[in-house]
Amino acid sequence: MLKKIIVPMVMLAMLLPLASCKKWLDLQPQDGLTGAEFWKTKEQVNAAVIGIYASLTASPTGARANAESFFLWGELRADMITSTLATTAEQQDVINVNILPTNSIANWRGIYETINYCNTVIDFAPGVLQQDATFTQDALNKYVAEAKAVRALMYFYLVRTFDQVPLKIKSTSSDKDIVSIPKSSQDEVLAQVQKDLTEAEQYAVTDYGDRASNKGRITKAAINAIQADVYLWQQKYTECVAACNKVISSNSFGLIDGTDANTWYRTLYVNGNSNESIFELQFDNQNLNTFYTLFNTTQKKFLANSIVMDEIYTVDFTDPTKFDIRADGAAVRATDQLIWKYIGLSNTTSRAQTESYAHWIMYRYADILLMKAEAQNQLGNGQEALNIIDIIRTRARALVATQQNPAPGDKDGVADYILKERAREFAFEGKRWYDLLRNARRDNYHRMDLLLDMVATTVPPNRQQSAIAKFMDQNCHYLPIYYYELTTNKSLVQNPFYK
Amino acid sequence: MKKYLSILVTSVVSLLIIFYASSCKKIKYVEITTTDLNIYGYIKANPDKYSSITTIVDKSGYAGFLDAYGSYTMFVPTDSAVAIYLKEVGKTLSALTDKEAQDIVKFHLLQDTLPTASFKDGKLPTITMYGQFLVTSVVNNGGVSSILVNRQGYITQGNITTGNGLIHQVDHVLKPATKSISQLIDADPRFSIFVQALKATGYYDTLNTVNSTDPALRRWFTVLAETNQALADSGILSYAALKAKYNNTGNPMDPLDSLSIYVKYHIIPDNQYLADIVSTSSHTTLAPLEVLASKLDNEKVLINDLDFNGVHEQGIELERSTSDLSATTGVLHTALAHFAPKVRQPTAVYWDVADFPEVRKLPAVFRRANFSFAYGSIKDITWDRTTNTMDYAYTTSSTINVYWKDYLSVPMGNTTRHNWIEFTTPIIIKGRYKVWVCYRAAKGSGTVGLPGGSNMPVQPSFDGVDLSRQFNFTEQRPNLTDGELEALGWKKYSPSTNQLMTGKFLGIIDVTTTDRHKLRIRSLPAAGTGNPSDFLDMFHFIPINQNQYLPRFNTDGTLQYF
Repeated sequence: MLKKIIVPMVMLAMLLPLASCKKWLDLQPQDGLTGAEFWKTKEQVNAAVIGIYASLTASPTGARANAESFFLWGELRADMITSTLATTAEQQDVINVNILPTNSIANWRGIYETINYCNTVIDFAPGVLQQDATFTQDALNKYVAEAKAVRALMYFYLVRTFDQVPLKIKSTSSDKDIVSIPKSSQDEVLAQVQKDLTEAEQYAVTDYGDRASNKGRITKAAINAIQADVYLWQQKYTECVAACNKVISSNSFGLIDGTDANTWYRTLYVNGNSNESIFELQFDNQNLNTFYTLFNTTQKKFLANSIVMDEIYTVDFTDPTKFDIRADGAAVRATDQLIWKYIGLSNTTSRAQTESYAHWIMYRYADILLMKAEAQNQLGNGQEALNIIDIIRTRARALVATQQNPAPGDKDGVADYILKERAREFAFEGKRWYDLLRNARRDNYHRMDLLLDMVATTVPPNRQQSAIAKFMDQNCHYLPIYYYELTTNKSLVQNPFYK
Repeated sequence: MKKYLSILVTSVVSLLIIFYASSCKKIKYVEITTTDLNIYGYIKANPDKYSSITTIVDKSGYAGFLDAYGSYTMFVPTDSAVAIYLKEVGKTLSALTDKEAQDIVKFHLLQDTLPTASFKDGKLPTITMYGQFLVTSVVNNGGVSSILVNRQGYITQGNITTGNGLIHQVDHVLKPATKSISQLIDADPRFSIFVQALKATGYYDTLNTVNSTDPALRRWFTVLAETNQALADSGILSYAALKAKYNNTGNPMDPLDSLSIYVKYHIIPDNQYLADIVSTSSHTTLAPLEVLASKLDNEKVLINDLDFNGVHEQGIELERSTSDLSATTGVLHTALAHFAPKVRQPTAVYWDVADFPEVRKLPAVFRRANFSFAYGSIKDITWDRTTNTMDYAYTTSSTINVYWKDYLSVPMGNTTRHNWIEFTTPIIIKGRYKVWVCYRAAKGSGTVGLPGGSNMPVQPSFDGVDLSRQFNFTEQRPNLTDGELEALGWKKYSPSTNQLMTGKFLGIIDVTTTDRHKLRIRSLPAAGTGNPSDFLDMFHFIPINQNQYLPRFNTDGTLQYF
């Protein structure tokens, strides 16, 4: 009786190893694709390119979302936000000019992830030409152009934030690709940025055929916009004007009408992908941004600084029908200083958490105009710059109180006016710190006073003098390299200010 | 039996083997939980940089606790720093006495972990074990900014984490102050007039003596000394002139003498560096009930920069470069202008509570529409329930004749309403005042003037002290003449004949300091649950010897003096 059971059981047990035998020798991962299996079809190339954009909105590996980094890096050190009780210690330390290399806000991981996605496309997409007969050289060039442009934009962010960064332009797809790269100078990185942009411009698409792609993916205009920004940073003003003119003469963009403040706000910021937009990160209900938690819950991390309404936009106390459409109900909610741009569904109603998908606007037409104004002013065409400011101000119905009348020949005066107008136009769009730094460092830090005056107002009174003295050190204007990167890459050298 | 014997033998033998084997090699147990070095261990492990300070620590006898559990911050001077120091004092390392070594170590040591991120412009939050505060600042030299400690040594490497605290490496030995405030003032010819005033009033000695050896019990002072130039700018060219101006009793040592009060008004009884001074808006001085107001105007530290009834009084600047001087008894600042307690006559404050900066920023609302302010969004008004709002209201009703047509709607009472609301008043000059509340009476249910219906009694208090009378938002003023009304503690604060427009006398207060104060209204248990019916319009603080019922306040914002 017992034998009757034991024998079949033993036989069954002997069969078991045989069954698993075949799988056992298969080294392919069960839950993913390997490089050898991947780069086979043009659809896969397309997927990889779309993946680049996805990585800009949310990190697939759990790093801080890049869009959030763009906000933190662009606003935290400037003067338009203020902290709340829920602001983290690390965020507060950045505001107080007390940044240590252990501060995770200085972690660039998400940006390099995106760069690696770009590198992967640039390295592997050409191989698909042999694998997929329907994949054309023309299509390949367009994809590579997108990858190069995004890579250029990422490096542009990095040099503006960290000054010197390791320049990695080869993909890391296996362990043998992991190498320690030392930092490159800002000029070297910017040279690579310009090279990528020039190559990308040649093949970039002007029209993908649908609006979301035209605004959410790199187009020729987006490349020109990045170029204009980089040229402006490099103080190459003629080239900047030329790049701006390319966008302007394409006749594909314009300023959204500001006659009705609410319609303007909804078109530009709530719905997004407007006629004014050139390149914006596409969040949607499947892919929410992190701004709801940053700006809206009881645990909100930031509020608008009181100077935003008091000094930057100002208020007409005598006539409530006169107001800057960019101010109350657009950039901020004046009653409680909420940063409204990303959490408002209209001038007055706010988004629910599930509706937190306001796009992150990288470049829009107003930016092109004001970049052109800035370059023209530096070239000595102050009047043209003033004319452009007027266009922007008229659209926004800016108040008389914020109007300035510098002489067209007063370069610093006009530059200050442009800087202030940019603060009004691009409030909380992640541009303020970079605008201040660009203006301050122009002509060998000719306008250091811009930064010193700014930091005197943003830090608590009992840290003011320290903060000013720290800001006199130019290395302080760039973030430290995160300590983790220093331990894993021994070739990196810390920014001397943070030693 | 034999079987058992063999088992016994085997077990005994094997036990012996086990014993033998175990004793043959000693098993090493890990007795420490971490190999991280403590502060002392760290400096000892880096003799290339810290051998001198290690010797000093050894000599001081503090090596033991610096290598034990705790949380410390130590500023560690390098060998070259110690060499410079020894050269200055003309000693060799071995010639330092134990006491000297102890003092050096104590002045470099704090019983707290303070990373450089916690440094402010001024003193560190924790006192050194020596008993003097360390001051930190940031200095830019040739484009490179570094942290300077006690104006003596730069931090060349900061935030070195050890097992029992933090190490900041400094390039100079830090030296404690040796002079008292008086000696500092005496040594500076710019203060030659001020120092005579100090001596004449007896405060030279007060500021010269360390009044307790125990740092925890020591009383510190902050002196805002006026330079001769500052006095000359006000026409005081000599001590004689200063004395002539203030010395009214003939005896400067008399605490009630004006010269004594003048000196006391320049002394804050605390250790206040500029960073501390700008962190709070008013400071008590040794002069009884006289406060100094302070503020930061861009980068300038200003004292008594105030607006009084719409008139701006320019403040006195404290010169940064010559202030924040540490002394054994406190800290010395330089004032660039002459100042003394101002004799101000008490002035009536007619305070419209519905006019505050936050509502003025909303032109579409201010004197135009209703608006609910969330908790925390008004700086000078706070209340108990964070979920409640403060409702600013505007009305054109012909029966609600409030000043400027606006008021605060403050339903007070039961569990969901405001239990209390606290206002920060405008600046009130010290003196004796009668306090009035002005509101429009109403009842959610029932009829005003008749018993029953809503009830909303309120207890007001001023700086935490209950006023002698309560008021009730449902109560209207009687219909009498002004004189009769005042005698009964009422007034007609609006020109309107509407009896609902009620001013009620709340009590007499003694305002002791010319400053902003706290006025709180608290609902009493009898407050009902009916509809909100409350129209808080104004508070009046009127000096007791002035007319209490005029002017009257019109809906269009005008005042009526009859």
